Amino acid sequence: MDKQELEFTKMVREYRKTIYTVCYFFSDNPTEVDDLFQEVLISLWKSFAKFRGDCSPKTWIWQVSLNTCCNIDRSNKKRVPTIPLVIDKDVLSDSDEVGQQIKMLYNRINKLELFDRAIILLWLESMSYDDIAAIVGISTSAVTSRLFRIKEQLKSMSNN
Amino acid sequence: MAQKDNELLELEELKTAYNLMDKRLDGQEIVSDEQLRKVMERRLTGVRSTVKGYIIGINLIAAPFAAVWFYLEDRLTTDNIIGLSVLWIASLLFGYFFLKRTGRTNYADYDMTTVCAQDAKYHKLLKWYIYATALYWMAFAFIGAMFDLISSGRFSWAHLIIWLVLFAMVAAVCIGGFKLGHLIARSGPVDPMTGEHKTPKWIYVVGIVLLLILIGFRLLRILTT
Repeated sequence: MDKQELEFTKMVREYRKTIYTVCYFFSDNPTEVDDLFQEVLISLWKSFAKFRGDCSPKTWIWQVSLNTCCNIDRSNKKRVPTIPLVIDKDVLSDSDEVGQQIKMLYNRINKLELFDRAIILLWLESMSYDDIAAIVGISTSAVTSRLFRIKEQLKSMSNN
Repeated sequence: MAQKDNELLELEELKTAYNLMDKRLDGQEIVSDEQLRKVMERRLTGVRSTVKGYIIGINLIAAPFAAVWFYLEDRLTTDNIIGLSVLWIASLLFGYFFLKRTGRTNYADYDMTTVCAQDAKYHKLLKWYIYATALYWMAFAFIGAMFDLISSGRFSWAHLIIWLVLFAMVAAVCIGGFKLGHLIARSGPVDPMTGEHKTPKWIYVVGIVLLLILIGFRLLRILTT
């Protein structure tokens, strides 16, 4: 058991970027990222004991993070007190060109529906359509058509 | 063609922005020990509430229920009273010390390795408590039945063998039923809020109905004899 808990902390540290990215794109404002991050950690921790390695840790982390962020009750006031994340506050600020590009990406993705956000994030992560289908729980053909529609939506955003 | 190229370029732009973000996050610590501790504490809260549930279940429901049962069956003998009291006191003591100890544990005081070790220890303790209680109940039922046979003068080796076989069968059915219930519970969809499987409500309904049938039959027997 000891080993399992240590493995969990190791895994969280290894995939912290993935968890953060999901929380970042699913948050309505920067202060919500901390809350979401903690909720995802709790979900991961609770289900870690049942993770038997049927899929890769990366897939599992994506799956739990996306599920949590998609289904979280944002109006729920009974939250655990949140601990702020250890992250350089300026890292994603729009003060420079890179920051502005990230902000543009955030603004576009944030306009999508929650489920579509999940799919496009997996696509941006360069996952195969089969992997995306396995993570979000729909068929590969549904992923293809859905992605087509999302891309159209994103393109129309850039035209506006 | 030019429009198509433009569109592809825009999607590529999104990918580039995503990769830039990924690069910017490189080297960022993001998650702290303090945060991981807070998350680990959540399970301790869960373990504490499970222990409270068992304490209430055993001390306030199961043991008094068994006592009333023995009384109705006219079997509230000294050894049965002692047996139930031992269970009652042991369970109360375990609950008291466990809750006191875990209530005092402040995860913020320790390093991550100690937090992991503490969490594992409490989790293991809860597991052993469940196993010990189940074993105690089985031994209690078996010894009680043997005493009944001896005191009524009906004891024989054939009786003992029949009892052992019956006991093994009942134990196998109980363990099998428990395992099956656990498997069915695990087959439910994952609750995204907790990351755990949602237990289908009908399992609780089936469990309660089975319990009521059992109680009904026994009460009927008691009332008609």
